[in-house]
Amino acid sequence: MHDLRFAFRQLIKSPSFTAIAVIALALGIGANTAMFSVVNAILLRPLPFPQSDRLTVIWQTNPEVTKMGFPLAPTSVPDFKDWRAQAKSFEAVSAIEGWSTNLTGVAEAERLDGARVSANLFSLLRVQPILGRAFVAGEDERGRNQVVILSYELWQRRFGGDRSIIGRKLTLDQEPYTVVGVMARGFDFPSDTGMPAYMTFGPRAEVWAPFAPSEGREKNRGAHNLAVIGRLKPSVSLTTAQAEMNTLAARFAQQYPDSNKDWGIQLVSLQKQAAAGSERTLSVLMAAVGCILLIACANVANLLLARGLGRQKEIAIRRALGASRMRIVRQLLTESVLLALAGGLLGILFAVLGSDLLLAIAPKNLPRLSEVRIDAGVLLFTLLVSLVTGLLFGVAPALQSSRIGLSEKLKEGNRGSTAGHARLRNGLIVSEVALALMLLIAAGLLIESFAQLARVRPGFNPESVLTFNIALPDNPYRDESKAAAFFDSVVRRIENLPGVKSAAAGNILPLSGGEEVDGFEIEGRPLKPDVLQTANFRWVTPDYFKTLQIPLQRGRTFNEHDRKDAPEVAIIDETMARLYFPGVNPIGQRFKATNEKKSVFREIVGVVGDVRHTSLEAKPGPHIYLPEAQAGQQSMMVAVRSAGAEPAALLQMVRREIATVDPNVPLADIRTMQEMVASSVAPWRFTMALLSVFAGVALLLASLGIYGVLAYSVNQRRREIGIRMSLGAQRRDVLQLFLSQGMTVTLLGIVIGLGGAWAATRIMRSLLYSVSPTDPLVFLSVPLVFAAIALLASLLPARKAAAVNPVIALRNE
Amino acid sequence: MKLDPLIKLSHVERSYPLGKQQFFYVLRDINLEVEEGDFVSVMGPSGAGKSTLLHLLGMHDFGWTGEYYLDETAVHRLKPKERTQLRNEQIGFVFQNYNLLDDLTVYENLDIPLSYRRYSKSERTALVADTLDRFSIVAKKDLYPRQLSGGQQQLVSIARAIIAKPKLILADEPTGNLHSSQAEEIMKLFQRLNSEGTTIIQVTHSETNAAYGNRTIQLRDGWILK
Ligand SMILES: Nc1ncnc2c1ncn2[C@@H]1O[C@H](COP(=O)(O)OP(=O)(O)OP(=O)(O)O)[C@@H](O)[C@H]1O
Ligand SMILES: [Mg+2]
Repeated sequence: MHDLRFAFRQLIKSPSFTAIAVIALALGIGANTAMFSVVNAILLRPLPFPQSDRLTVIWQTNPEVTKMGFPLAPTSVPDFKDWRAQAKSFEAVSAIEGWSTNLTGVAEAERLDGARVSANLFSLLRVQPILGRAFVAGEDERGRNQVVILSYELWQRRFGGDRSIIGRKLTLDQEPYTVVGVMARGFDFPSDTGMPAYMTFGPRAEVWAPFAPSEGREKNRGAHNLAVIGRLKPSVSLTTAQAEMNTLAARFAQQYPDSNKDWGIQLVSLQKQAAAGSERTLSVLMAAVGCILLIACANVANLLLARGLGRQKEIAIRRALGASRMRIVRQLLTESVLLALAGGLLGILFAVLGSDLLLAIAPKNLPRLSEVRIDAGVLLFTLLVSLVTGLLFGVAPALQSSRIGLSEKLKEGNRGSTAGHARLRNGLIVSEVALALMLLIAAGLLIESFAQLARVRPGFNPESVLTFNIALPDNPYRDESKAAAFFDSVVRRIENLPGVKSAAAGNILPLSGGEEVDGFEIEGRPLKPDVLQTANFRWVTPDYFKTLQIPLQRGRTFNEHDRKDAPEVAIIDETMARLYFPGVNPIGQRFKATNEKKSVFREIVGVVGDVRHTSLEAKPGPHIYLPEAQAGQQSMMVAVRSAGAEPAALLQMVRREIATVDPNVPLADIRTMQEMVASSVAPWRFTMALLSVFAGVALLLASLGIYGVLAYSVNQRRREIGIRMSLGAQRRDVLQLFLSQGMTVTLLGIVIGLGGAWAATRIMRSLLYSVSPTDPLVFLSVPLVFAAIALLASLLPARKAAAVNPVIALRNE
Repeated sequence: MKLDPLIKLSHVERSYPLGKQQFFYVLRDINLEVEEGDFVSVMGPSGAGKSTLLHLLGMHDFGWTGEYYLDETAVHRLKPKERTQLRNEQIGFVFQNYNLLDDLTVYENLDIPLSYRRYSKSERTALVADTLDRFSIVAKKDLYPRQLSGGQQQLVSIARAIIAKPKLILADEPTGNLHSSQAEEIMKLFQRLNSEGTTIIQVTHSETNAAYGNRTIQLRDGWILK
């Protein structure tokens, strides 16, 4: 208690020391708290369902499908039903499937994202609607499935929270559905559970209806399109369950060789799946803030060491009065822990501000972002970090300061050898520099990646293009020709609008996140049984290439004559031409798509440039474009190129045109193509921005450290400077003396930091694009920049040293 | 004998500001000539301005007015850098408290003045070896100042002052911290250096020490007593 009171008085007594130390610590602890609040929400905190650790996703695996880029594949309806009936490891098993539906019969038609789910899903998740009821057994049978549960947010937004909504009929895709329940606020399963993009769950689920598969799907074991989720029985471990599923998979492979040969089953804990996408990024960022904290600690330790020197007399007297060394150490540690707690308190404030900022720049597709908050767990973390920090930076100075030989001190007065002291201080600076350099190199690598990414030519021109999605309801558009006619007339009408240069539709636009991979067979080249030959298929309207400005390399693009009754044609991209028609003119060659309903050979009439479809960073695979008029897609994305004006300004006119074709068709996913590009690089930008900020803070702290240690040393060595001047040292000699002291620690730190970075940046490989983790440019330029800044930081105190007045320095002796 | 003296001060004054518009004069209207080969003792009570005069002569201090000629060079017209240059060529310092650098050995302390002047590595080695020899401190060359007695430290500090062959040695109470027997040794050393041609100006409180010189200047409250 005495220690605490005295410690408090000591800190109050030297306000500038306390302020600097507390701010440095607050930066370190604040960054850690903010980052931890994110990690806690995304990686550590359980999903918001009771006993969510028991929830697992049941995926299928197949070597050929893995080769296509999908290591985890969905399941067919018969397989799902067999698992449900036979697997003993699970309390319950549910199927879910992406569902997006048009809400009509209300003031403004709207497209809603949601899921079709087995009736038992809600009890499996152990959640209850706040209004009405969950689905009951049997509602997932055909004919009984016209019931729907709404999200709280949808209920508030569209129905003003009206409690009489239960029992009301809604028109979804032109079919009547009865509302039976409303979920609690925030429930949007399966959003934020890391479901793969190809499962087509929208960004936020708002409606749920029972999953009642068609008769065809009930029989087709080859149609993989269901995500299956199970709740493990309390006594069953994931490994046991996996073993059971392996046996099941082997049995099915024998029983149904046509469909199930080579298909395995893979269990993934839902928690792990939700975290998987961001784990690597967040651990790198967490390591970065850890470094910042260490640097802050080293800085404060240095301040404490300097102050310890000033307090040697106090300590000597305490020892003379009978205090044991332990006692002195305890006293000093009390001070540093108190300091750290003050830093922690201010750090929480920084963290609150920082995490708001963090959320503002975070990519929207980072799962569970909305759960980020500074809660009791985070506060506990901060408290622990502060205590550990206090001990960490306090121990060395306390031991050092308490190690005063009594007789020595009282005799020698305030001088005496400070060599050990100086070594410790310099050692701390060296480690600060090394850590900061590692962070800077990591940031440099990310910046370089981002620059590379920005230089990628996407193969189309994203400027001045407005895009949106239209999904036509089955009624009356199940008829392919009706769907084709709808899009044809919509595109024509839009093209005639003033300010529109051209318009087109495609089932998947570049960088929109969709995928459609199918097999194909080239005429005259029968498929080898073991070779999977696939390409990405796109159905497009004639002006697609003109609108996106994808260059035509050979042959022709589609035109209005490529109709259903005309010869079947296709256009391929350069990659496809290179891979499958090397040295051959692909024009005039014919191929057959495996999945097309009408099994016909299509003639290749053109070759267009490669387009980055999945992401800017992924090299494009082979693509095949087919004329929309020959297929009739119900869901298409429309691209409108403006004649120069802001593309978003066209939206109102475009809406009117579409309403005149069919007022019951809502527009969804309205974005400009530039926004699509931006959101495809958003995760990169997020990591780069954060790491750059962290590296900047580290650089600042390390420079402050260098500055501090030199300024202190100049102060200590005034007399020496005076002597050297009287012996002939010029301004330049004194400058050099201190610059070389500063640069020696800096260079040593840089060398160690380079070694550390060399070893550590390897773990960043997956976060980099087109940059090696040991990129020579970064490894060369970052140390140079660092050295330049360290030189600046040393220059200030060195100039002060050069300005020492020898008369005063010598007189003060 | 040269016509011009080694040092010539005329109307030199040094003052410190004492608040608004007020000045405290430490040195007043100093007119002084020192011939080459002189051994001058500056005496006077504490606070008289002796150290101030020495720092001024040694070009540590530039805040004075008047004229100062050193070896025919008009110091008052020199730029700071040129003054340092001139100091390096002409002057060696000896202090009351020796002012050896604690973290350097005797050898390294002797080497400092050379490191700040244009000497080659081999010249430096030779000069240091010579000087160690001349002052009979070869055996002590690897010791640190704290391992030497006060008299030995002052010996090293004088060796350091003359190593770069200055014409002028400025010594501020060089024996102030020493026993009388040690003091006597130092004074004899000064006498020898003086006889070899080095001009010496020392500040001292002791008549005995002053007697080693050929001239005494008395300072009182910043004035030279005639
Ligand atoms: N920076 C300064 N500001 C104000 N006054 C100063 C300053 N430096 C020296 N003085 C004053 O100048 C006067 C002369 O000081 P100086 O050190 O030259 O005396 P001294 O003759 O060497 O005395 P001592 O024999 O005690 O060494 C003193 O009164 C001192 O207080
Ligand atoms: Mg004096």
